Amino acid sequence: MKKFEKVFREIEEAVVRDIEREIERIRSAVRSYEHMLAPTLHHEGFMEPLYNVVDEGDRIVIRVDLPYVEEGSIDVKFVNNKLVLHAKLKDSYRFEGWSHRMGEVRFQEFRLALDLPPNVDPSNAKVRFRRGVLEIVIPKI
Amino acid sequence: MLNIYREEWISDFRFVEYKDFTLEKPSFMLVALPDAGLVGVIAASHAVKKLELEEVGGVDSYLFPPIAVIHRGVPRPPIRIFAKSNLSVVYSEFLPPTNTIPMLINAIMEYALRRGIDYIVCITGLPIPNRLEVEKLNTFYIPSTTRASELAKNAGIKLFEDGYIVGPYALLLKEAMRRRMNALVILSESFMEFPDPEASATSLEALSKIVGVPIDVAELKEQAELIRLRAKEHMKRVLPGLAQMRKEYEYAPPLYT
Repeated sequence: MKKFEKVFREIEEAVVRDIEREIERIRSAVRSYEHMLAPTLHHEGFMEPLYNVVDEGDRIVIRVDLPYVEEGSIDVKFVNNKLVLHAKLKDSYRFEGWSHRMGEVRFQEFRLALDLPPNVDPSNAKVRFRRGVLEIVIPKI
Repeated sequence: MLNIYREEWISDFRFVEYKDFTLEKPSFMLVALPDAGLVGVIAASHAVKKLELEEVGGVDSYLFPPIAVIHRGVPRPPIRIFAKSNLSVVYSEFLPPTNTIPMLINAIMEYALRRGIDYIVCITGLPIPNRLEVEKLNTFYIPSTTRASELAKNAGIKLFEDGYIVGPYALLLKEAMRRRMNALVILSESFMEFPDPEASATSLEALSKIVGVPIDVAELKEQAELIRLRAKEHMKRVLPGLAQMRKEYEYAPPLYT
């Protein structure tokens, strides 16, 4: 009987693990969808840039679109497994022809805070800026 | 205010015109819907501005989300139609819901047929993973008929030999072939997820030769960074729609050639 109890317990644990993994996957998809819908213009004068993250097997490549940015002002940090980015625009920018409260805001910079996957090594990240796009290559552990 | 001169329902879509207009022959219709890199929309917006095309109509539908474009204080349908000389432009900054796109494309083709349009042209981006490394962008074309193919050969662009295209223009090409209408899709190498005015400029240079109307792209190239800034929010709103269409298939090489 004890043998069967052990088997049933293992099955139960496996099922619970699968359910938790699926719930986390759904949560992650919902967060990602919410992020996609969230506005990227903030009334305090900063914008969130467009970016994409590609898993290339042995490394993660993050590309961030930073048009009209002073290259020397780009600041990239890795803090608590997050990528934190600031970049100042060459000049403050106002969205002309937009009769919306945000049309009065003068945007000064880009800001981005991005969670990194747990299995990467940011200390060996390579960063380059080309054609207004910042490319960050982070090797996996 | 805009007065409706004529209104016509084609399937579930209402085509309105604000004035009577005719296009010189051969006539072209540039269809611009959001796609990879917003290449087509940026190109069409620039062409409308530079050629001073007049807004002559629009397209709306109860299948669309409740959107109105407000321009100079006047509400307009979300899809706008501009025209002048031999060129008309069907232009939308919003990507219609994926399930409405086949019907919309069908309706646009029917409208083009009824208006006697000789050639339908679309501009879009061809996403490439190494876009950052590429100095000179290649431009390709896909014709629906031999006549459309002859038109593109003189523009100095390459035939898109093998691969996939995904999205409204794939449907447009197939529908054009079915109806035996002349259609041409112009694709310039571009980013997928970032607005790409340089790709738009390259495509417009080809369009200029095809339509026979010079379109100055110098300003588009100079203002590329500011255009990318301005188009950023649009691009973000379009990306979920492109993902829903399975746009990533364009990266896959065909197995059978």
